Amino acid sequence: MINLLVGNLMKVGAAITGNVSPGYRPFIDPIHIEDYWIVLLLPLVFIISLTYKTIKIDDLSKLASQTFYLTAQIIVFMVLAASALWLLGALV
Amino acid sequence: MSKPHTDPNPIFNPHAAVAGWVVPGLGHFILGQRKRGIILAVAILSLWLLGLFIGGISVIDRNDRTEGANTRSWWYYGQALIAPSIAVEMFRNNLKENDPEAYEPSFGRMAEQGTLYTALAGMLNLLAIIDVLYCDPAYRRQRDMAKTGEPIDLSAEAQA
Repeated sequence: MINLLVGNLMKVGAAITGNVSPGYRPFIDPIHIEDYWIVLLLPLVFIISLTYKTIKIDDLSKLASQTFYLTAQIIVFMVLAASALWLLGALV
Repeated sequence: MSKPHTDPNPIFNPHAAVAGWVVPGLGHFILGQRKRGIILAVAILSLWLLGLFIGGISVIDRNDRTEGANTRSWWYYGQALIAPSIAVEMFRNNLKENDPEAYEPSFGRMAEQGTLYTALAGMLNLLAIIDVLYCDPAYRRQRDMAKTGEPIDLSAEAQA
């Protein structure tokens, strides 16, 4: 799992550095990592969890553990939902 | 935000809400919840900047009617929940007026991801704005300290 994640992150890094036009300007022009868009969901989920927990919890010393727990929950349920939909599509 | 209706003396903080809209986390910061404010600023601004980095400046476009994406302007209202998005939109408009090919428009997944990131950053900022708009930070701090067993210094809260 970690190898897959690291491998995908390396591919994203290579895509960012390799698939930009010569006149590329960061934040002005888009980067071209269409094939690896799914990896971009990970930072999205993490930051959503971090922001939600920062507002929600009273004791910030528990923020890291609560954030990682919520991130893991969201990812697991996304994978389960995707698997269920895939299964449904394959059977029907 | 965790228990807004149980606060004994909730305070209406429109100045903190406006500050939080201009710079995410600033509302918490000026109300004395500095650590919370800094974490919110880093998290929300990172998401917003990542969105711009992925999709480029064209993801913040109030009048986008191209490529059949006539609903993208709705995303702008989410993006505008962070004030710098409005500045970026004005900057993008200026660029486009001077030179229609001043920037490379984003399409497909990159446009989707960039739009999603920036709009979600705006909506998360709305949560932070609501949190400071109607709360009593002293009460929250008092509750935090009661849980951790730290002494409660209400005079410092009053000064903050």
